[in-house]
Amino acid sequence: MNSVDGARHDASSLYKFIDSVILPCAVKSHFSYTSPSRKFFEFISQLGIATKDHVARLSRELDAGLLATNPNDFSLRAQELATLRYSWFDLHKYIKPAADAHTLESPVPLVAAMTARLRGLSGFENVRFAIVHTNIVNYFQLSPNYVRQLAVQISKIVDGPPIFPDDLAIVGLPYSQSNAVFLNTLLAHEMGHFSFQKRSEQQRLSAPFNTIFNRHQVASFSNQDYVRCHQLVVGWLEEIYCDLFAIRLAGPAFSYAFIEFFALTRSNPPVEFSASHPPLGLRLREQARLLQSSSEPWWPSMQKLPNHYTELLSQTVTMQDSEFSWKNAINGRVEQEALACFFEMLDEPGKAVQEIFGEFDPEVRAFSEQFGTVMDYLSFGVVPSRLIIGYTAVTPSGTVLLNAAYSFYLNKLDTLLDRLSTTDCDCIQCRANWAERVEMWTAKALEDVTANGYTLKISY
Amino acid sequence: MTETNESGSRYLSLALTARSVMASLRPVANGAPVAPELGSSLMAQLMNVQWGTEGSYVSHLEASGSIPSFEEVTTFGDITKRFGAEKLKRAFDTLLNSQTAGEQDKSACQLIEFFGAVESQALDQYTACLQARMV
Repeated sequence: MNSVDGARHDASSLYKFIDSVILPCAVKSHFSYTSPSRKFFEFISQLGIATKDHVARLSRELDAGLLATNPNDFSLRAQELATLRYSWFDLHKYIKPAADAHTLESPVPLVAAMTARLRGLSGFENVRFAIVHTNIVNYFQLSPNYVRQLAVQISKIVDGPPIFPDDLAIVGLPYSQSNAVFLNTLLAHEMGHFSFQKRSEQQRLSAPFNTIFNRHQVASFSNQDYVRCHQLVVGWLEEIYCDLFAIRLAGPAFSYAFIEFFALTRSNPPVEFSASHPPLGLRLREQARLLQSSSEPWWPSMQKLPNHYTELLSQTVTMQDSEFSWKNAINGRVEQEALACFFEMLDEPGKAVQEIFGEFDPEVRAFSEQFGTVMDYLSFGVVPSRLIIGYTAVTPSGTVLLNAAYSFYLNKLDTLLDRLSTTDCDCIQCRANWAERVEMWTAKALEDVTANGYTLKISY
Repeated sequence: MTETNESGSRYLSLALTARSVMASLRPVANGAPVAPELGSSLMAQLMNVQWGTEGSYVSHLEASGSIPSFEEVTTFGDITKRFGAEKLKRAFDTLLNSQTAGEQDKSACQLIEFFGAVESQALDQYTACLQARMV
């Protein structure tokens, strides 16, 4: 039932709700934040103020005169209050988590190192990442791109808001992993989602999809079947794209983190597609293929450091397309066609990622020359910010450091423990403690070597 | 994200798009001319109406630079049926091509109602997704 009083109540309730949502952005805290996070807070604050002004204006327009002369229009206008409420409802999820992700609770050196690498690529020169926390443990369930899109859409319907900065992206991580280095390599996948959106890869994939779909001459597909099929295929390809993007950005450390996070060494990797993601086994296979078969592959260097993760990667490469299937099909016909199109398009993400990073990966050669020294330093508890190789001082890149340190953690932690007279190699608690130290040394080295270290840390 | 989350996000995004188009149509309903930006936005929305009503996707394959989401196609399909496809296409056509202010005003009002219904159904679907996430 429409009424002026009801609309006024709804408007004031929304006004109050927005006030409480933006509060963490407005309150001066004693924590420090990176520049992108501050920029994000500033934008949200301004968007909140613009929305509140808009709501106040709208409430004045929803008066008795409008209700009497055009009740239908009154109702349509009042509906906007619900749209705005739900939009702020969704934004709410990201704001306090962003406030929690201050520099003491964020993997700032890792994000700075990955940002520095990304900024060296054409089209990403000004990219910045604000970090948000979440209580969801699975990195792959977050959708930080969504907050950008939502903020942009809200700003289109309220008057006078700021423009969301083009190169400001959001990455989210579980709050429990705030200072981890190795697992947070998974953030490179989130950066891939930003790239996918920024480069309009979805539109670029539509043309080959249509060609393949036409060739299959699918009979009796409705428009809804067709768009669902397209949505499934492009969604799956986006995930593969982000994995490959992450490998080119961070190296095999991404695959190590992927295996560790999903405990994939426990049994055969999952082989069933869901509506939103390809199976973990297939994703790992595509990662392994890239690591083995690019023009300058990581694989030979990884083979020098064999472990149960590299063994798993070797095994997944041999998995056949026919081993992967769809589970819980709503409409088997659509999913079946989507799988067929997907497998025919599986080279597309690799091509798109290569367009960004180029054919050769300069980090591979640097890694093969420097990883031994980085691991030696770590085995003595030395932060490997500057290496002496031969008689030359070398500053390793962030990618070399990250991958060498992860390999050390996987292969050579015992060397460090053996040097400590009081530590038992079989003591799991001791291993966990010293693994954490290795991560801290790696974080310190990443901070030291990242271009303009301190400046970048606060302004990237 | 899970499918329910993603689907909910797409419905909310659709509601916001519909609201944004309604906001741009209001001045036209009050006699203002159709701005070029609104024209291109309406062309995109007309494509959505066609996706939602025409029997076969084949007619769209060549033209579609971007393919709408499942959520957009189903919502536009439902609402277009309710309003009548031909009546809607005429309203779009009049708004985009007519030189007569009175006709444009009327079409703008019809389309505001149409996008209001799209917004309303998208919000219903969004809340259904919210409920599905509750335990």
